[in-house]
Amino acid sequence: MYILSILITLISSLWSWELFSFNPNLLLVVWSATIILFLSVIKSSKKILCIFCLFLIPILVVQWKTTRNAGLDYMSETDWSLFATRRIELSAVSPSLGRYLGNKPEYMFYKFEQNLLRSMDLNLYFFGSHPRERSGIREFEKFSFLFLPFFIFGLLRLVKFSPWQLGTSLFIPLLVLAIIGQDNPIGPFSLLPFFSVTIAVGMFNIIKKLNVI
Amino acid sequence: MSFNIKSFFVIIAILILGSFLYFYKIDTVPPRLSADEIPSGYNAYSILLTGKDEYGKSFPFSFRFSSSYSPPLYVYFTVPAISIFGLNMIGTRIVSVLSGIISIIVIFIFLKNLNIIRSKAVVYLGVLLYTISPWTVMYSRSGYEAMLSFLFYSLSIFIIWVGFKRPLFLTIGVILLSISAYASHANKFLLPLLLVGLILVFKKILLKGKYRHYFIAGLIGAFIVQLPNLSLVLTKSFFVKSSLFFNDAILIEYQKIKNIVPVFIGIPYLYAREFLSQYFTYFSLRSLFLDPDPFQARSIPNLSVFYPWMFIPYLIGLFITWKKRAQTNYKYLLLLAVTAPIPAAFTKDPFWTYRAIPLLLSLIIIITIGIDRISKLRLKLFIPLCCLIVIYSLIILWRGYFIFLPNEKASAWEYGYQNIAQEMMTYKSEHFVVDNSRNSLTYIQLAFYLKLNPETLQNAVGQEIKKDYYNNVTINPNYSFKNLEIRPIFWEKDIYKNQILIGDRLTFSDQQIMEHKLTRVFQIKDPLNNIVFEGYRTNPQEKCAYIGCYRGLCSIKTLSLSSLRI
Repeated sequence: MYILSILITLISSLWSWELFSFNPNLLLVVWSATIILFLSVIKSSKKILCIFCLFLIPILVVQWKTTRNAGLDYMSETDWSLFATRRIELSAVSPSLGRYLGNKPEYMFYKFEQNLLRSMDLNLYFFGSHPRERSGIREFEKFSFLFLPFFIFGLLRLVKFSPWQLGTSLFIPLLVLAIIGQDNPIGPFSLLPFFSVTIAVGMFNIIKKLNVI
Repeated sequence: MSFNIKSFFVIIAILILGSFLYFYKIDTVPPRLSADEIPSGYNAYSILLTGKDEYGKSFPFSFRFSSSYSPPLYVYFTVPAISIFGLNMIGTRIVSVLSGIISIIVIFIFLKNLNIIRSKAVVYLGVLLYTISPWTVMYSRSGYEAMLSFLFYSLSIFIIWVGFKRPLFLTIGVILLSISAYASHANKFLLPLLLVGLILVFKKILLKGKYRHYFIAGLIGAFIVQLPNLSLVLTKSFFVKSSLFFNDAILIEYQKIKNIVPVFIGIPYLYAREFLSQYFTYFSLRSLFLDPDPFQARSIPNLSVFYPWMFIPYLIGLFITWKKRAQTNYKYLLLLAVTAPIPAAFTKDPFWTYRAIPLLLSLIIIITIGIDRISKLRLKLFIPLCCLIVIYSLIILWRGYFIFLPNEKASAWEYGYQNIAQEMMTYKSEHFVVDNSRNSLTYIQLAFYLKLNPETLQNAVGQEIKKDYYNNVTINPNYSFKNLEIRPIFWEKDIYKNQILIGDRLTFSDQQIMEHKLTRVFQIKDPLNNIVFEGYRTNPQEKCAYIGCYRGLCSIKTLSLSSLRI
């Protein structure tokens, strides 16, 4: 049943098929990482978690390499124009304000927050960012919204029983995504192992609670 | 938790800060009155002077604002404010400001009585964060019903909670909750949801012994309070917002998949998907802590409804609330959080903070729970860190709200109508035509700033609206009073009369200005120096002479000009 739940999650996910059409080898690596992470969760093994980390590194490298306009200092033309306008607005109040509250590091900090919070948006994964689709970014539903209850339940289980696995599979990719951004044709796929495993754990436990097994 | 002199001073300090944040520059920031504020202010003025609204309806249960209807409480509360401060921005916004300040006290007492926060200092911090949260500041400074409805909602929720210990308060709380339905549409739809939720979740408390009698008495009281609302249930005024329901979007979406999915699966699936996507947006980190409300006049540049750093205590608070859901106080909190965004999630607008404002109550408590948990880590730097974060939050609030908003959101706040009114006062003897092609509320904007006698407006309205007030939603945005006409410009006629034509950048093209011999009288610019309105004087003589020279038709045009003047 454990294996079945992870397989159902992976096969039914549109994200997997998007990855397959993008690069089948990448899909293979991501799926392998997912299954290793899943094994680490069900066996509560930190050794297996270390193997997962070995898989995670190349995934993060590909994530970075395939992301357009990566980096916190990147500014589009619109960003530049807004940045300049705001500097003028601040300087009109006090010249030093423009220097302190409208400077590049402050912009980079905002961008970091933006990337981080957008990567943690559940609507991005289960509803293709609907109803707040972003302009200029290809949005698609990574998992069916029917998996959302499984995800929430699985997350609560992971927080309680597998904090190391949760921390590694969620926070490391999140940190990278917060720096490089999300302008990627297949989205933040380095989080696919985390989402798939969480859904699978939730699915398994809910089915077990309902005494179906 | 005892109440001592120290607590008193802390709360007074927070109230002073809140009063400053909500009062400071209230007549200039936001820069003008928005399309939601103007009808509230003017109708209160109309009720004050004539006892009737702008359409001539005596003391309505639901106010007709253009093609929509609005719950009446805010307008009636604004009447004394207008009589004190006059028809201006302060008079229109003061009820929200006071509601915001009173709500600080309510939140404080509720947080204390909920017994959910262990640290006394964190209770104050929670109240402070509520006071300075962009959601609270935004609506405490906006002259329409949001903050008043939130005050009624949070007060009734607190009193119901007290009723869990002293049953008499159950009756009072439920009746007050029913009254809150007259404060906003969202509360109207939230009322039955909350009552059903209370019965389902707390049936062991509410439906036993003496509690049952008080609760039923409350329900009867609530029903009686709802009679005026129920009398409107078959009219368009009750379901006027039904066009916001995402029904049409679902049917369009289903057309794409109808060949592969049967209707009994496809339609429920799409409904569930749409509702859940809307519902989860109200809990999403991106919406709550990053991206502002998509409606321009309800958003602060670079800020959402909470500060970005708050997502950490929010997540911790959510987890703790779920973990302790068996406890009555956490169960009550969860009920509030789960029900609050339901009315808003049934509409097609994404993350509409005005409709979801009841959610502010449960979310600020959840965030405070998270902070309380962090405080238990006994970090040496906890208090200095909190001070630093609060100062940082205030700085970005000040930057976003008091510097960026007046400049960047000026057009969203209907910038320019006050200036038009001022220009009209300068050219008193002239005749004006104001183009309303892109804003059907132009008439009430000008009526407000010109302080037009409400009887003049009431007489200008068609009698058919008064006869079927709660059903007639047809709009006629064209008005004519004194030397002013509000309507689209008719180029074939208007240029042959001596008058001033007023419109926005899309009204006049350079070619039209040249061809019709128009002379610019004034230009109104927003704070970013963009032209928002222009006034042009017509020049019939020169225009006729020009046409005559060009086409040899001068005499004909002069004739038609004299007939037009008659």
